[in-house]
Amino acid sequence: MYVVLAAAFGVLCGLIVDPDIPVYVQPYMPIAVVAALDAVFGAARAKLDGIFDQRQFVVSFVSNVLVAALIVYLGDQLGVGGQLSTGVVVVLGVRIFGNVAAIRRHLFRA
Amino acid sequence: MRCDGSEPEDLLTALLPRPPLRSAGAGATGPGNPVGTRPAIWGRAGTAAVLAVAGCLFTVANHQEMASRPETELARHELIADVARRQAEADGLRLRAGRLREEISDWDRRAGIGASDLALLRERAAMAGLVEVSGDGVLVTLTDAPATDDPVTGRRVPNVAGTIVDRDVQEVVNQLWALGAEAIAVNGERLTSVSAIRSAGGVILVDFRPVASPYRVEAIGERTLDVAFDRSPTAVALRSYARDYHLGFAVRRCGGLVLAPAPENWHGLATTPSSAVGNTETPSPLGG
Repeated sequence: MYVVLAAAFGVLCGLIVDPDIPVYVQPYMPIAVVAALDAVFGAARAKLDGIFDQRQFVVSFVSNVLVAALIVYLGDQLGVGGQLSTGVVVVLGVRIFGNVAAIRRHLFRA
Repeated sequence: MRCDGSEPEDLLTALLPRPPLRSAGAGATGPGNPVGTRPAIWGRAGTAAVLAVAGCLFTVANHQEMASRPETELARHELIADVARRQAEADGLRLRAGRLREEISDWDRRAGIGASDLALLRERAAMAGLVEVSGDGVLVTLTDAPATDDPVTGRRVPNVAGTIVDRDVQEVVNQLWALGAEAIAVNGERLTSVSAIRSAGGVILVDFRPVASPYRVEAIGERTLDVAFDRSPTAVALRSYARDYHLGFAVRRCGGLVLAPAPENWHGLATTPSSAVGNTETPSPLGG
């Protein structure tokens, strides 16, 4: 399926190109990863629910990553970076778990 | 039961206010793509591009995480892996050497060497540590004293006086040879006629291979070897050290010992150096 191929291609690109992340971006990498995971799992769940919209997925992925990084950056400027980061991770984690549970129900019951 | 008729999935999800199904959540849910409003290929390309970016993102984050670990820790892991690999290689080579020696003795037999000569050859090879030997014998175990609490700082410090040194192991080995042991191995390292047991950097090396406490000295010999060793002056001294410095010392008869051949081989003939006047000692070719 083109999904797996695209993801594998991305992983290969990451391994081969091996981009140097600028120092000021590095602290936001973890939160970006969690936000990306949330978008991907949400897309998978929507696909299994039959309500997947490609435009929605693209927009939500980009906005998730940007908003999460923005929130953490704002928190860093205000001195509450650690706490806001924790809050973002908790909420995204809860959504990831909800989506994974729905996926699991689809895979093992339907 | 919620208004859309589905069950709550998790406790946490049930606690959070549930967003309506059609809202712009991160779940990428939304009105399904009506047929014909957008060419399917563009949507697919977009999704594929986003997934590629996600894969790239995960890989880069992982790489960054690996790179941020301290250099020393990585180097240490690499060194440990290297050491384990080399040791495995060395063990493999040692096994091969043992098999080849067995092959050589087979060829000796076929070459028509007399049975008594062959027996003598095997006996000499066994004493020199070149052939696998099995039999009953004695197991002498030496253990470092347990760490004690330093009275000044209150921290646990190793017990220096109770640490086994190379001299202790040498004494045990020499005593066993003197009592007629046919083959001796220390922590699996078979002793040959030119084996060295020495300390380097706080570690005891047997033929340049490090061994650690507890030191197991296995010796194959007569049935009475364990009793004879138990009564020997070495054993008496070590027992008194065990009492005074709390190091571990145990002697017990052991049946069915199998001692592998030594890896290295030194070919030569030991000779007595031209003795100076008054030199009555002759060096024993058997590790004396």
